[in-house]
Amino acid sequence: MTLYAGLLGTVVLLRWDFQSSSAYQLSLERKTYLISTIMNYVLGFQILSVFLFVYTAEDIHQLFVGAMCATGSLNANPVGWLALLSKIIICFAAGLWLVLNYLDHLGEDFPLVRLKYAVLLVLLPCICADLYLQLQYFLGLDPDIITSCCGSLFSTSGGSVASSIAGLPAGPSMVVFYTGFVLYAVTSLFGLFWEKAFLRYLHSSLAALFFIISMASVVSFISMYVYELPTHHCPFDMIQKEYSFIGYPLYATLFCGVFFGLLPGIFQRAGSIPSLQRNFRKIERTWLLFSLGCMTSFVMLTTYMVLFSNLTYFSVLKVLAGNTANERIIPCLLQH
Amino acid sequence: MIKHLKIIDYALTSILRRRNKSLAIISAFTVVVTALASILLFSNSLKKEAASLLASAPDLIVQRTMGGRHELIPTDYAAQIRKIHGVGEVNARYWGYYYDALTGANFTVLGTEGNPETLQLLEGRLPAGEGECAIGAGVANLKNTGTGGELILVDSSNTGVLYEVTGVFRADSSLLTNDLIVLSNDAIKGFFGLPPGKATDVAVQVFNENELQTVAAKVKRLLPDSRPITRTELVRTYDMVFNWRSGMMLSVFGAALIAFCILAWDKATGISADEKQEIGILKAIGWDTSEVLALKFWEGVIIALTSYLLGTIAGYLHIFVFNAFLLAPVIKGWSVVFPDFHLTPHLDPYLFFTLGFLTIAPYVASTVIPAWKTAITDPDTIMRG
Amino acid sequence: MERSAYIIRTHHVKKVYNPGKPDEMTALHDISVEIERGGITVLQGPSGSGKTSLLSAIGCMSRPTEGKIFVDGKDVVKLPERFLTEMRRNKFGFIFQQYHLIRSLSVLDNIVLPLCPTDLPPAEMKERALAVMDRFSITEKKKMKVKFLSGGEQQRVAIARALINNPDVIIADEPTAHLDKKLAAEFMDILAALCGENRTVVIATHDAFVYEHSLVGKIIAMRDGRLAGAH
Repeated sequence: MTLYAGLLGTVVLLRWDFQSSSAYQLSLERKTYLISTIMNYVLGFQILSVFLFVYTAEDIHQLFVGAMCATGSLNANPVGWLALLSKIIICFAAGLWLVLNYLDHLGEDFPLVRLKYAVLLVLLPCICADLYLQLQYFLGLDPDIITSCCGSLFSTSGGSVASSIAGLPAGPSMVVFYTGFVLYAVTSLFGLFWEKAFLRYLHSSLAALFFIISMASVVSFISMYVYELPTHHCPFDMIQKEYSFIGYPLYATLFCGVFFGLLPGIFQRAGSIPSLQRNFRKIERTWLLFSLGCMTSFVMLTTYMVLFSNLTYFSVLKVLAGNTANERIIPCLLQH
Repeated sequence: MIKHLKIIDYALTSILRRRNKSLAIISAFTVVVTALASILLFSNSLKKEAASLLASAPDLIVQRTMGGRHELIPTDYAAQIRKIHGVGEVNARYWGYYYDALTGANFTVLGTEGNPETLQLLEGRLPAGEGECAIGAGVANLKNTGTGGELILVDSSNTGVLYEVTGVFRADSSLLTNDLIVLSNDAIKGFFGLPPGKATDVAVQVFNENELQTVAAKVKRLLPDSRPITRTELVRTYDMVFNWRSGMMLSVFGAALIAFCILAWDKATGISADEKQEIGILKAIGWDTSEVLALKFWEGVIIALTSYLLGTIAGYLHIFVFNAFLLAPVIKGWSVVFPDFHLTPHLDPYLFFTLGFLTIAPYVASTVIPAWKTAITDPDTIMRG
Repeated sequence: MERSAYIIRTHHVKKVYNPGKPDEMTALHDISVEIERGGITVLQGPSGSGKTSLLSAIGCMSRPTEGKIFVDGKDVVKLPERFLTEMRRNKFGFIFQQYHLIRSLSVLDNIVLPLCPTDLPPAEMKERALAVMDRFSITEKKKMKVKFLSGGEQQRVAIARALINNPDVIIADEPTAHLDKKLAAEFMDILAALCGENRTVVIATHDAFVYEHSLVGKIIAMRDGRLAGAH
């Protein structure tokens, strides 16, 4: 279906001539409805499939010796990591496309139509690649593989990127996390009152930065509070039932917040298109507010977990002492 | 938002107005969902039963084979296995099957040392002496007895033996204990006429799960005529039976089937002239193409959701209330072993979510193009008659 | 935007159906007309003269092949489809020859239909519908399905539906074709009342009763897709 949309997109891209009132142009215009409907479906499908993918990875971990959560299943066939990454990227990209489409619809002269279909053509192979990766992942799974799980990947002692993130000291990363959020919130508020382009770019860059900080924070300290175990840094376990599925709202608010936070900067140039000017500022405000709302819920959720976790006492001590050395001793005491 | 609520409302009325067509689609779709739901629920609950069965299985089972067939194992093998490093408790197990000619059912007869912690949820107590037994709910039902009652079985020398029932298993998962008769070890040896010093197999506890393979290899080397079966191998075997991947294939196949059915249906019926005119009217009086598309989308969602709910409920009833009477004959093996074939209701949100995804999505997707074809109806077609 | 005296102007409008196909048909040749704000304008001519094609072009239902159409001073020919829809929804009310009501829906449901894809709250929507129904005395039939109504009642439902969005322009295609003399007279009275509310009415008809009516302000006569002279 996406292929069909892509084909239609190519035709539109090549033959689009808004000045013509030929029947052919009219039929092209009508096809744009079909394309945007299909893309709506594709995006919906992609969002659901990220969820399904993670859940399936979660569900099949019992097939693999050594796997205890989705990390283990993904490790069983490293293509899985790529597939997950591509799914998240496509989710964002499809969302961006829909926003582009929405903006295009606001103008009376189809201001973004060529850009829109050019982007669609880029998006199309990505979606195919994603399907291919997913297929590769599931077909390449072999139950005989003994995999390592989050315990080893996200352990604080290790050479990989993941373990170095996990090894970030909790205290400083909390400071960075909250500073990042305050900065972001302040820029958002400024952005609501001043419509300066540089503020928009700053805002979007901060959103992207905050995304990275947040993902690192999830691994480095948020996870600890969720599991109430200072050595457990897995970002996947928290979507399990044992932790009352807390990961879903956590990731959902973060992703939404970042997505809407990115929009003002990315579409800054669109605001100067004459036929869009009238509505653009209003929409931008909505984005800013929505993004701020999502981010705030994300941070509040995090703070709630930090404050009401049974780990509190211990970690306050640890933050005060700035010492991560005794982390090694605790697992023996807290092991289930 | 309000706009979409109103469109949904309109979609509902238009489904109700085209009662015959809607009913036909919904019932056809419901049948497909029911079939899919039954298969998924059935295999899933079998998987769960198997998993709970396995949870109580020993780490390592050692059998003896002779001529490639299962043979009784000398009990002194147990002592030899115990000497291997990393091995914990080693127990000789006595068990077998009993065919009850009166009821025509097969029972599993299991010997016990008095403390199998796996067989909890017992009403009453486990047998302590030779004349006592504990039985599964299915056995109790079939033989019309209960705690404090009596059970007469015919032993290997064709003599009736009277046992007093000291307990009945009321396990959540009746698959585990349904056909079970538990006797004391001494009683079972006499009952089956097992030669002295021989057991059915040996259950071995291994402390460290990672050493399981090594221990199994050592057992094989030490006792060449033995066959060690690790729990992971059992898991694997069960997974062969209820292979998740084949389940997935099945689901994909099912989804394709649905899409095909819908497509065929759509080809067969198409949009009636009436419907076409209605869309024309809507467009003429101020509905946009995207709104007509939204209308068609919601119509699709309503139909798919209704069928999904009906189908899932029907599938659930079929499997758990009517004991899978349509599927059971297909997997006859199970129904022979288990006289009272009754699965424990088990609700897995993931399963329902997957089922929903696999049924609703293809339906709604397959309606996109027909819906679009209707939606682009030129508003002035109705003016030109 | 300055309010010109003409609510609708067409500028060398040409409409070709099925261009490039064997059944190609030119319905309108080079039509330039002006329709004044308020008052009744009649497009008069035999069937096949292009009245309906012109009506649908000025009603933003179809796009002309060539030329320009200004509605309230805005060229609508180059607008994307959804803006045409918006125009139809906000500016025009349509009364069709066959009424084109949805026969299996109730009177009330038919009347609110144009407001359905808007964000107007249902309660307000219903209130508006009751107000127009009251005006045409069909309130007591509001729950009845349209297919059980008489021709005259159906037309009143159609008028009520055309008025629900409070349009500036009412477009009526052969409105009296299925009415007897008495009902047709009644209909003209309704139109007169609408003009009194500062609405513009455009009627396509070949019924002499209509175009000879004293209320008609302007008659545009058409023959074979061309103007035959305006009075």
